[in-house]
Amino acid sequence: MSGRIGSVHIADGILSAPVWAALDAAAIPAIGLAARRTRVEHAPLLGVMGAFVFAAQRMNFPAGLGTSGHLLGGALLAMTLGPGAATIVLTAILVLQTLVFQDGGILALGANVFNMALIGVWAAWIPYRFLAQGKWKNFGYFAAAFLSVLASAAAAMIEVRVSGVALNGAVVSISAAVFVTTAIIEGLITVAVMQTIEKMNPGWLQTPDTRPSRAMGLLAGAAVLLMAVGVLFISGAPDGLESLVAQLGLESREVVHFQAPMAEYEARIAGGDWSRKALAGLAGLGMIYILCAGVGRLLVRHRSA
Amino acid sequence: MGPLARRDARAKLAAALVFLVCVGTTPAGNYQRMAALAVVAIVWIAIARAGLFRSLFKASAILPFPLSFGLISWWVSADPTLAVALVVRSYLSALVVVLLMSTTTLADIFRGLQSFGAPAVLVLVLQSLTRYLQVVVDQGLRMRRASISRSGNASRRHSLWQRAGGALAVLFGKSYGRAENVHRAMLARGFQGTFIALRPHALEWRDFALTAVAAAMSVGAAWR
Repeated sequence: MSGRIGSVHIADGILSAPVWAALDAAAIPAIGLAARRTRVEHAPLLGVMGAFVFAAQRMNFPAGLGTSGHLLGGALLAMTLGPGAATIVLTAILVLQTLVFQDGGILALGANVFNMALIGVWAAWIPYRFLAQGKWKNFGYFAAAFLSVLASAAAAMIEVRVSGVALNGAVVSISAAVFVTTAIIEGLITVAVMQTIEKMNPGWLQTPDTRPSRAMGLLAGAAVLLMAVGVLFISGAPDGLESLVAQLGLESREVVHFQAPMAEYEARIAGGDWSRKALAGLAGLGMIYILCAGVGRLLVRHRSA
Repeated sequence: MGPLARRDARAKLAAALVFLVCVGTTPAGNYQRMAALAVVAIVWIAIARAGLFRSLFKASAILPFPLSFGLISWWVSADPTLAVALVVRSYLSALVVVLLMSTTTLADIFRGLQSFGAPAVLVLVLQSLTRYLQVVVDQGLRMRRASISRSGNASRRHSLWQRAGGALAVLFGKSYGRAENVHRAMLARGFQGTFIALRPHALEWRDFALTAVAAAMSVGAAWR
């Protein structure tokens, strides 16, 4: 884990093969799409802004009780560079943190990119898009930063839980309290920074191309919040359907009409347990990659038509 | 300079990836395979002359994350098997990344990533980020020192937040201005959208041999 509470950089070896393979496969086309929407001429600007985020993470804010917090920066980048460019900058930061600072793993890079550069950025952009103008804008800045951190952390916890790491209700509750505290600190720091940036040069902020809508902003923010908090707590409990089946004593009546080719994340071939799991992971990776590449191509063709 | 440092970054990246996949798919409780993979990593550190104890120490930076999840998992499930697997898998993976980084320059790794299909804009951002990282971080630390020197730490918490927020916003503005200057200077010197490689690498048979031998060792260690 990074030394920074709340920014959970998942290391290699924590996630199970199907989870890291699926998230790697999901992150690759998403980064490709974000790169396609980012102009190469902007690369020096994005690189220096990435360096700014590193520097900002070295500047501590007093958080009370002798502790301090610092900016994580995902929401700030989304609001100043736009979601596509922010995704690219955060991906570059994550690559550098993985390689140079041992903060996160290479196989888990897809998961970290998915959590922070995709979920984190879009969870910030959605409330900002609708609340960025008018008298609610400070609340919009806070909501963007708060939800960005909370959604990223919740996604990381879910991935760890799905990978088989046992977490009980107490652990999930303590983690949720830490994440919410970090998210509040991130929100307050972001509001302080954004207010000053506005005074210095409002042109540095991305202006959403939609009309501000307080109702839509609140609805979008609430949806992201519900998703992050709800899924975090649900992940601590057993699967709802399985639990219901067990309670009703229906397990013995289970009839299998169709045997999935990779049930229980194992390829049905001869060989050891490792080779079956590895092959299932690779097959899943290939299928998701082909699906994403196909959908991406269709989208590009539809747009150019 | 050890023999691995002279090899192409792409060969080392591919070999490291095979090792990481072997470690990442090692099931909990298979200590024999974990030991075999640890031996493979140590052999490569010795071949690279990367300094065994230095590498072991550097890789230990990763330990707090798997240790926390491992201890939680042990506490909740009362079974230490998964806890050991999390720690060993994470540590072995970190060890190989330390070896990769101690035998390869960042510039070579970025070029390797590009030849593996990473988007050009991402590679350019990585190159700019590493080039200006120290400059911007130093500037931020200087500003923090100046702020503390002028007003101390004893003022009200609200003003401390405002001051820190203001300092970050000013750093943001300075970084933005620096980026625009850098971009203009690059255009003035004929920047065509790519950084020029001073030492272009070409894959040799030794690079292919390195990948093949390293991959065979990793898969051989894992196939038990």
